[in-house]
Amino acid sequence: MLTDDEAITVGLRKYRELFPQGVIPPDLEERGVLSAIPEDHATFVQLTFGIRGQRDPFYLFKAAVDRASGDVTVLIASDWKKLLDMEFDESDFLCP
Amino acid sequence: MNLNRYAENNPVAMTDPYGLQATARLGNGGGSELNRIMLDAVRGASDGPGGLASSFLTNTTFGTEISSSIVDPFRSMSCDLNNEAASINPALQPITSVKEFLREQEVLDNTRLARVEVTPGSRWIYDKLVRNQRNMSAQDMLLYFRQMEQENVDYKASEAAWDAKVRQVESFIPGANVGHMLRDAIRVDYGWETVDLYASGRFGLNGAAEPSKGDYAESFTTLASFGQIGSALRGSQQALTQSSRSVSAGRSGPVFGDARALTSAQRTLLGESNASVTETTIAKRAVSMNDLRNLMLHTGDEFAMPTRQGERMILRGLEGKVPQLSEASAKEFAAAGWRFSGHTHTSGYQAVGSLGDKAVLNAFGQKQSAVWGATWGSGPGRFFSSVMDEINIRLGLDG
Repeated sequence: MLTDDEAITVGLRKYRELFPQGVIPPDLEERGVLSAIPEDHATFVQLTFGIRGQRDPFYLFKAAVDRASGDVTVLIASDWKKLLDMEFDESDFLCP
Repeated sequence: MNLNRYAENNPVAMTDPYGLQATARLGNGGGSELNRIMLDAVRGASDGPGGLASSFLTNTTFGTEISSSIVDPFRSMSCDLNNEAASINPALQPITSVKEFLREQEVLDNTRLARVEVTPGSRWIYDKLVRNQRNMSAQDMLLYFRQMEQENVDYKASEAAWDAKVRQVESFIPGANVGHMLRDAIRVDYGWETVDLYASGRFGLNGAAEPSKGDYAESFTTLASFGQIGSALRGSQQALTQSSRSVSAGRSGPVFGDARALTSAQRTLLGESNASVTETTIAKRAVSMNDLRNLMLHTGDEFAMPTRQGERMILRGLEGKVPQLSEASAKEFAAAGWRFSGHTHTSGYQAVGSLGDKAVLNAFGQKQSAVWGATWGSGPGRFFSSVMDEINIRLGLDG
């Protein structure tokens, strides 16, 4: 049984497989928000980008890591080049 | 010093306005109504030194709740002749001596909030702790009136209102006539900040609704608690509906349907954070993120919580944001020694970080923080200050 932290690491390893370091310009990649959400049996790892004027963020990557088996299921793996045309949220205070 | 356990069965060593005597058998003098009640209360109890083996001062369920979540300087004291709390939770250790209660005077001097429950037969406690203003040194006092018509509670309530220590009043009101009793007690010139009315029984609703009419609705500096009449009357759907209509100011109930009934501690905190975009400092153990989750569900506002040593700053935002916690203010918080413990997201949003959240987190100089979503039972989501740093550290890569 993986801990939540171990599951996050598994998810991030999958992310790096799909988006090797340097493929996405570092400054652009860093505009994203890396989050992890624990649920009953799985931990969801995701990288989202807040878009100006949009309620929901753009999901570049989302994976579910089964903490019992260690299996990782990629739920979302978007074309990172879409980020190039996006106008990111510039909020500097707490907001959803 | 364990204030939750008052083990010494010492009789009351003071002159009681109702004739309670320290030296009498069972710790009670004879003749007064109170003594009769007191004797009833101790009936069947063993005769320890000085008597009063049964409790007349206990931590009630309120006290239990508080003691599990709030440490000094918060304190909960209740007067409970019938020892209801112990019957609810036998593990509770009763307070058995007013003397011992008073022995904690030094502690009470530093008590931020004292809760005093006035129940049938315990009015002398009220007199000692409130009216005389000499045996309770708490800065703020929260009175619980277990309503009893024969106890002339409206008189007591109105009298207590002149005590500047009384900041909040909660009345638990069974039966009729409560409106008449409280109508005069809840006037603007009494200066209470919050009033919660718990009405039950056939005529309870009418009574609870009456103070919300007309000018009385303007009588509070805090109406949030008043608006909780609806939730307080959860036990009666009919009452809930009617009370929601009758409340003329403040919210008539939780904003989000998943809200749970507020605990006493949450009501207190809501009284302090009684408007959007406010800040309240509270003892660290007095509040959890689940408390803030419930307050978010009740108010519809996002909450955030920086922590510094033994205290927490509760920031109540406005709807889905906390504008007062910005990148700039977060730097100031951090410089003052605060750390960002977590925040809530309102219903409809995932428990994930946003760019604004990330900016605040970076301003605090922290690597990660947590977000509590609206769903009960769900754990907090975590978000990180840097995408690449987090990946590189976890995967053992060079940055």
